[in-house]
Amino acid sequence: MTPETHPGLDELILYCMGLPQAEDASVNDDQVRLHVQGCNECQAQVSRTISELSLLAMSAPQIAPPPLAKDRLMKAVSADMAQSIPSDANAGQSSARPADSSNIVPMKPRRYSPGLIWGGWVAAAACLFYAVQVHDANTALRQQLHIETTQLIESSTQAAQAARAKEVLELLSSPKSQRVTLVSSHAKPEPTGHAVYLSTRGALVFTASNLKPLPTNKTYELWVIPANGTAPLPAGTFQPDARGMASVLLPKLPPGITAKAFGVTMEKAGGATSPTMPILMAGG
Amino acid sequence: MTLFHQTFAPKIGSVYGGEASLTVLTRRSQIPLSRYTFLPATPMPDGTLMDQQLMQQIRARHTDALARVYDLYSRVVYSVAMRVLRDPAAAEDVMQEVFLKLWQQPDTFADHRGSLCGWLAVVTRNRSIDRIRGGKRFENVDDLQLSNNIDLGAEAEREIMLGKVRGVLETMPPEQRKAVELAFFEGCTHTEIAQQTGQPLGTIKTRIRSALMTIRKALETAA
Repeated sequence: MTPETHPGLDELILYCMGLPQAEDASVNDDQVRLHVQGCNECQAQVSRTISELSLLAMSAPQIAPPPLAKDRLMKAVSADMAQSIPSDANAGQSSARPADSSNIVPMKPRRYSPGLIWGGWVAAAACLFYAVQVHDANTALRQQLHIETTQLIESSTQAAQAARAKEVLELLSSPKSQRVTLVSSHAKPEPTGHAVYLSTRGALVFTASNLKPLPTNKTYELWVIPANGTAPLPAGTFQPDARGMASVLLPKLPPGITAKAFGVTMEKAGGATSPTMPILMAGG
Repeated sequence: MTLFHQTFAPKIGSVYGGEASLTVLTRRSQIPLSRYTFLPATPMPDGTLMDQQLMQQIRARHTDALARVYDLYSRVVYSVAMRVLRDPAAAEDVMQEVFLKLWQQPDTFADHRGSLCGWLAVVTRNRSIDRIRGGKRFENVDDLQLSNNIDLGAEAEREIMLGKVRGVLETMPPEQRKAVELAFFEGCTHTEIAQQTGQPLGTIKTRIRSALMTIRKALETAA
């Protein structure tokens, strides 16, 4: 293959995966690399394939990193910054005169008896043992203090929190509550949606305002995007009224789905089983 | 009964620069009653723009920006490393290496390369395979640019695209899925896959190509 000849799709896939070309291939790795570097068409193909591969990588089951990993990273970053500062400072001092050693008197080596040396080690070991004991006792006391303080705070604020939460729930659930969305008096009203979702029951109430009118044969559709990475769940279609208001009340949703986000798309009348881009409204 | 009242900004709201807040009332039994505020998605900055702003701050040596990038993408990076290495300690090592490299050499991610999240996922896969197979085979691949057709920086869009990819993988013929996973997640060459599966080289090539074309088609439908 000359550099003018485009590599085949199989060769480009292997190139994007960083894998060597197959034994029976008519091209080698260097030929593919050289061609791609000089060919806009193949570069576009490679960019597209890499994007698809990045999604393939991200399709891996989602696992949260260890809780202390962030601290370890930030400590490493701090160490890296600290390391770079002294090296810069040292660079400025490299021409400094070395310390004058003419006034330094060499120390005469001292000899210690073996008994004194062993005695010192025993004393050090005893101190270390004592320090460990004190540290353990201190840690246990701190933990106990922390638990008791937490319990005290919880019990004293429990009643107040419960009363406040009850009041909030009554306000939110009462049909007599007045609901008003405030926007800047100069701003053009933007489409806005509000969702209240109870994952354990699969219960969802969604209201929207300032929605733009839809073309004929189109509908808005609400989606629940599960936190476990499974496919978005359709949560009902809706049409705005003349004032741009719409709502979805208790659509059929399976219980127990924790939502990572919610989205609204425009779909063909009757709705879709998977969302069509772009997402018109999103929240989560 | 103890009730907790938390208020925090939703990720997507902050991505779009909105003022929305997400209020969650939960009980000890962790029943989430959530109120979400939706914001128009189109006129606000997209995820890629936010990535660029964060990378500018990292280049200016703001550690807060790196912490923010970690908060946004560490789950993706760690999950990819775990998928390849299947060892929590090794996966954390690779994750640290990837983020530390982003801090020390921020110019390795050029803004024109597309989404930071996608780039981190690819680089993590490459570093993880380097670790199990030895050598540094992927330096050229790290420099490749991601297509801007998909805004992987925007979480909602990324989740929908990922839902498509996962759906395709679930319905794909098992032998096709195995071929593409051996190549991508284990770094096996065509010859090695042919030896492992007992299938001819040509069949392996076809399976990998078909798998990726199926993913491409599903993403095209979504877009």
